[in-house]
Amino acid sequence: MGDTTTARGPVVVTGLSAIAPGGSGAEEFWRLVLDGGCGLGPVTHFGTDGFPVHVAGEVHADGTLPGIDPRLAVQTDRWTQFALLAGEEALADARVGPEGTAPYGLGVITASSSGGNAFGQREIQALWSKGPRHVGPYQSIAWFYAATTGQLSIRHGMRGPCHVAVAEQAGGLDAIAQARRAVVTGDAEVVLTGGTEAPLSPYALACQTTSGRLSAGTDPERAYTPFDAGAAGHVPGEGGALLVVESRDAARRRGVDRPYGEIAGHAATFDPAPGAGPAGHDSLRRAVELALADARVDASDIDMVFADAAATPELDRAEAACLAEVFGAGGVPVTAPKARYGRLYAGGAPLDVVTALLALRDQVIPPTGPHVRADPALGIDLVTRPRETPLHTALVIARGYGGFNSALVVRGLT
Amino acid sequence: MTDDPLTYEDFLAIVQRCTGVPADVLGTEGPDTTIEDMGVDSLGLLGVVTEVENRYDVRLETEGVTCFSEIHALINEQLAPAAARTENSVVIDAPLRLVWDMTNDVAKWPGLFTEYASAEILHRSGDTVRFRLSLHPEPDGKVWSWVSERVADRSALTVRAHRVEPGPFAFMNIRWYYRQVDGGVEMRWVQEFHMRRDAPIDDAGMTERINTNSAAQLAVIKERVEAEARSAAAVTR
Repeated sequence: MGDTTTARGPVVVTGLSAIAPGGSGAEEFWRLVLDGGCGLGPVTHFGTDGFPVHVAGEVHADGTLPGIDPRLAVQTDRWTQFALLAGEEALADARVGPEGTAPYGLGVITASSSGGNAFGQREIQALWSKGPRHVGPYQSIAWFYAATTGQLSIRHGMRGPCHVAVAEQAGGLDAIAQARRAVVTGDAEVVLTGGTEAPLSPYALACQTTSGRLSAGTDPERAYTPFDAGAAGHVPGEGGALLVVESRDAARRRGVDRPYGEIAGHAATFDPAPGAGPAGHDSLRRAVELALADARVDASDIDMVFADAAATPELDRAEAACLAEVFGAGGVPVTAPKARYGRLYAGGAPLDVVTALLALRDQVIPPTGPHVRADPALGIDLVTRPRETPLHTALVIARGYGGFNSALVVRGLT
Repeated sequence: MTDDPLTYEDFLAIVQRCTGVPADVLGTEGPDTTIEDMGVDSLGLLGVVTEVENRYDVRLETEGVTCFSEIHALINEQLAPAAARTENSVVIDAPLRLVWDMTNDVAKWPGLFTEYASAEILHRSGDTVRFRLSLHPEPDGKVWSWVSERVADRSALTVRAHRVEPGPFAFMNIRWYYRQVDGGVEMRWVQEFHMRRDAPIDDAGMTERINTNSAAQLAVIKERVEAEARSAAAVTR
């Protein structure tokens, strides 16, 4: 655990964005979340015959993304296009422009859980149906995990630290933590960070079904009910969020006096191999405890928790048990707005961080949604209606399929 | 006939599909605008070259090329000398206007030719029509079908057409010429084409096939237009 703040003050968030089912743009998305509006619906991007999934969170039913230069559209997957749109919003929100910071002081650190699925599928189809000379050259740069970081770096002339974190849903928090680290060490002045995902295409969905964690529900209102006695898996969704982080003093120097909040602490752990260590939630609890320690806060300082909310009985029990051990039974308000728009993998946790920061700004805990009733046996205080209460510090939890655990603490600035 | 085997418009359509450069940019920029200035990187250029090579069955050496118009010229330099050519004609004893109207009514071709099972109009703009033709099924059930585009110039008594989806052809360009001669209206069909190397038939074979088929179709068309002319004349009398 290294130093968590810089000589120039804590690492703060100065720009937000959101690309989400039902509402894009941070403010529109925030209104949707507060209203408990449902962004889920039947899958329209492709036919789901033969798939055990029929409901998802789609960003645009028609599959086209306005605002993307067609020259970039031919060379990028949808997941990169989400990030290009989110990046524009976050940088504009932070008022980071082409002038000001030296290019090598600008970094891009994103998360991706599955890369350019649809792009890759299309080119592989061309390979097997027409032959190797029919695979487009942009396949070489479009499918792989770092493509989004690279395109953002090129587009905005950000030549500093550039990375990609791959840890399924947990990667979104790990990327933001890595961005904080780059600012703390002085490698970067400003970092565009977060993550997006476009997991709604036939090949991508086929990969996800192997986890056995997806909801087979056909009613969008009831398909994703974490911590409910009827929880039966998550609904996949697409989108995500990018944020701008920098030191508080650097932000002030640029004239940004009211950052959204501080990236105060983070930790990541990995589950033991099956049979190689204690099963259950020990690793998850360790991530939470280490993140609190990193932020130099006690459990009693946490005002709300954005849960991972996997929505399978076993994973919900593990997360609830972890929270009870750290905070006491019902000891902290818990929310999971993703129950209304889906699990966005690498895009999900950054969107939770955006939501947490807006909750701190407006002093209201957004609801998991009116459709969920927490199973009393889990002993958690699940927020299902907007709850106005003094808020200063929030914990965001993300678990990634395959054993990843990550926890991040964000704090309002006083 | 001096048409380029590949028109610049068709070439630009490929460029747009492979690089995303908007049609209005491609249309308004001069042919000397560099590929780089259009915002296309080396991978975009590679995509265009590979697509053209696949579709027109050519191999291009693009070292040192800076503009798309140069690539277009390179393609035609390779395609033009390879072109095979057929020419067939018939004299139809009917008024010019009737010959022109009947032979240019694409939607009714299945009733004029014996080879077409259907002619579906896809798009019409001024004198230009884009359509899909399908032949009658072969004994094994295979149906040949392709999309063509025709531009009819009534004042010049000429029609220019080419295959948009060339299929087994590297390219296929067609001109029809009409003129008044002794005994009626001469309709002359000139076709320039080149078969892909992977096509089931070569240029010589296709030349023979077109010559045989054209003679048969021209004879049928002559008979049907002349019959129409006679019945029209009977009504007038």
